[in-house]
Amino acid sequence: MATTTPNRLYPYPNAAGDPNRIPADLQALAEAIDTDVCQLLLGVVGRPVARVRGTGVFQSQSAAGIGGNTINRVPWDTIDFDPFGLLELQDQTPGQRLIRITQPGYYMAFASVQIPTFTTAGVTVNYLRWQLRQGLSSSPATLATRLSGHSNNIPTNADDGNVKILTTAAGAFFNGTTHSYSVEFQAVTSPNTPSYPINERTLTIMRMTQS
Amino acid sequence: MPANTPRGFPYPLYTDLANPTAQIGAFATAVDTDVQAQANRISSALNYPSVRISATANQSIAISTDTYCTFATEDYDNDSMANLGVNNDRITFTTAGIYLISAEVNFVNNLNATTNGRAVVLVSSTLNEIAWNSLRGTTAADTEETLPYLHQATAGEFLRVRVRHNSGAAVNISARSLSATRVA
Repeated sequence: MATTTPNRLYPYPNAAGDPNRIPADLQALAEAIDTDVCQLLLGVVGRPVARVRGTGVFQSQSAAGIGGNTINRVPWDTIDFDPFGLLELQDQTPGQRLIRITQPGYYMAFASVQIPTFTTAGVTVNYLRWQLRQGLSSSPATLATRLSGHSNNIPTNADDGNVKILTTAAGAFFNGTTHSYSVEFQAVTSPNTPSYPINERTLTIMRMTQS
Repeated sequence: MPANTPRGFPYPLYTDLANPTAQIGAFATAVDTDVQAQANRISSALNYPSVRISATANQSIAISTDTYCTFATEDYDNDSMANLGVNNDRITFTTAGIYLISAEVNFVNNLNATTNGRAVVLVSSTLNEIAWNSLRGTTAADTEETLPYLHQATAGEFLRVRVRHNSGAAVNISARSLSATRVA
């Protein structure tokens, strides 16, 4: 007659146990502990992290898009690392470009972009903005909720080494089903001129909780 | 008298009276207690204290006046760090540790010709200013700032986001948030 421990439910013989079954009882206990500890160790694998990158040149839209227009979303093409399967690139056509998060939890994210000098003659750059947002994969063309952002009102120039790097960061809960990241780049120029090209950008995320 | 392994698992000595069922039961119970403690520790490590508070309604910031941001929504809080009904300008650490923090503030443009600077400061109740960032404002567009910081917090310490500007007229802040998550 076996009973079990209160937490992990390991089997062991009770006082009325058959002394002749001791080897079998010990084997059952050892195997239960072995299975349980192995299962437990699967959770000890470090902090789940992932990084996605956009490598192709993205050209900004006109200033009309400032203030929230999904056309400002930048595209992504390369998952640098994602050992826990946190990321799922969605449709990368203009206006969508979401990155769905596949597992629920609170995530801390960092988004960075390299912004080179704008070289179109006769155009003054007044404003650059880089924003991290949370959208829904079930409604990919809907404006996403702003999580954070960083702007700069001084054009990229030789003082920056001809490339300015903007970074923004935010923590937020993702439901593991529809919640998705979107990242937007906007530029205001005078006269109003679209097609400010930006270079490589990254989104790095860390999963901090499981629900 | 049974002996114990370094982790406290009991085993009988040759001099002990043989009582296999009781001795196996004692061993199983000790392992059970120890493994459950490790399971709890793993679960805690995978669910570190984290919080996000935010607001979107305008808050007016007077010229050259240190002002703490107020927040309206507790978006996430698994360690009772936010209590906006009591204090709507802060998070209070309830578990000591090292936290990755990000504050974000959007200064709405006021169309005033004098733009000057917009500053965001993280203020600790025990260490005062711990991190800050400033940007030049602009006449016709918002100024948005993100301030990330790694901070060693003590239980009971609270953190606020302070802003200041020296534009030619009052400036509103709109979207703003404060996130923190324990990393060690």
